[in-house]
Amino acid sequence: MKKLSLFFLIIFQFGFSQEEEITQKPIFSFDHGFSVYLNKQINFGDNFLSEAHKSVIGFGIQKNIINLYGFAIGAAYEFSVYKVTDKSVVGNIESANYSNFSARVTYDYEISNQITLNPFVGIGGTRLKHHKSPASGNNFGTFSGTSYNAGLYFAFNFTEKMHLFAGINYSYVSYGIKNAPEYDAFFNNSNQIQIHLGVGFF
Amino acid sequence: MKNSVFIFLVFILSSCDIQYEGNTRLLVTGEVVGRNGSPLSGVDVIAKISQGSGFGSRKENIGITTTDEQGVFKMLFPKPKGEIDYTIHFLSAENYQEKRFVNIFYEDFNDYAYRMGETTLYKNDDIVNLDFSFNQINPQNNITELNVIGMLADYLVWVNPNDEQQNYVYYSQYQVAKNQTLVLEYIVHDFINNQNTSHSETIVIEEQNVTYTITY
Repeated sequence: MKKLSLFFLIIFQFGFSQEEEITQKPIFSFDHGFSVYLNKQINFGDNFLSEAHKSVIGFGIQKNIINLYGFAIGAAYEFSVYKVTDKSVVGNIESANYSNFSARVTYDYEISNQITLNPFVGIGGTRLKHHKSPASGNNFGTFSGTSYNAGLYFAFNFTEKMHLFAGINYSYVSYGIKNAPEYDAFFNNSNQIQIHLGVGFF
Repeated sequence: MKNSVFIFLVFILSSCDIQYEGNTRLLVTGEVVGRNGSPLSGVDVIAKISQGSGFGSRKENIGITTTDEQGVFKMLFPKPKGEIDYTIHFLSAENYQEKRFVNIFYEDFNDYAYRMGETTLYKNDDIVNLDFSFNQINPQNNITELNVIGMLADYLVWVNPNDEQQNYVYYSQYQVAKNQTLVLEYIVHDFINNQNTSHSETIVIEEQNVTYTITY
């Protein structure tokens, strides 16, 4: 308990030190930044998501929580609707909802006062829930897996409190699907490039 | 009150849906050929599932595909939960017969796959009925087994017998292809002497329906 109290005292000390050292970034601070973005997912490779689904435009939201040594640590949630394009692979099903929740670490690399590069990595969980139709409550079960992400944003600081950004994200998802042996690789991974376009707030 | 009843009904109806294991995928594969063994392309194949019987039974066409140029088909679909009867239904294509393989259970799947092998579909105008009539001249005899070997064209194939059929010893009605010679094999059991006698006969099928009489 004493160690925990000491830890928080040190943490808050670093937090308040920001006021004294305006020209230097603190080692630790709480990060209130968040962003929302449109998310276009492009799947590729010989897997069920690429071969039998087509993504409609989705959205994402990212919330930073803390900043440590210039790395923003937070969480991201992404949601996208998919149409089923090959029923022989998926079943007599019309659509799927793709969602991903991940922890994300982003680094701020300032090119200039207005331009910032934000490389990031993340790890999280992905769910793919199949429906008879987008409006139907009838569901056909859920795929779930572990996602690994890496990407890069180009941010334009529009005002002091807001920036626009565009970026690209690679996502690999490993699933745990039980199926016939010849379809093991087909059902147990997916690869996708995501194109993000959004707005962020500091 | 009306709203409560409505919500209750919606809840009851929605709970009637067949539930699925999303993380388990089943595979059904096979090949469809015509009478001469040539592949039939463009045949629609549907995997139907049903759960329960009578009022409250649930049905779904869960798998759907079409045979390719080699007559080969494959379909994958999520595994339904609970006790399910599977039916694989071959829809007619260009005057060919329909065919249903019924009463398939999950236990018939091996390693999440049900591999059907080759299924032959005959043209509708290439099929006649073969009926057996039984002329029992010796009361101590019973027919205990009957098999018809040749080009059978039944519309319905029972992969597993249903409760009633488990008491059947043989079928007395068949659909068969025209212009062939079938082999009929049957066993007559003399229950007084406890002896079995095997019989093998040929049946010539031409253009007309046939009623074949077995005398025992």
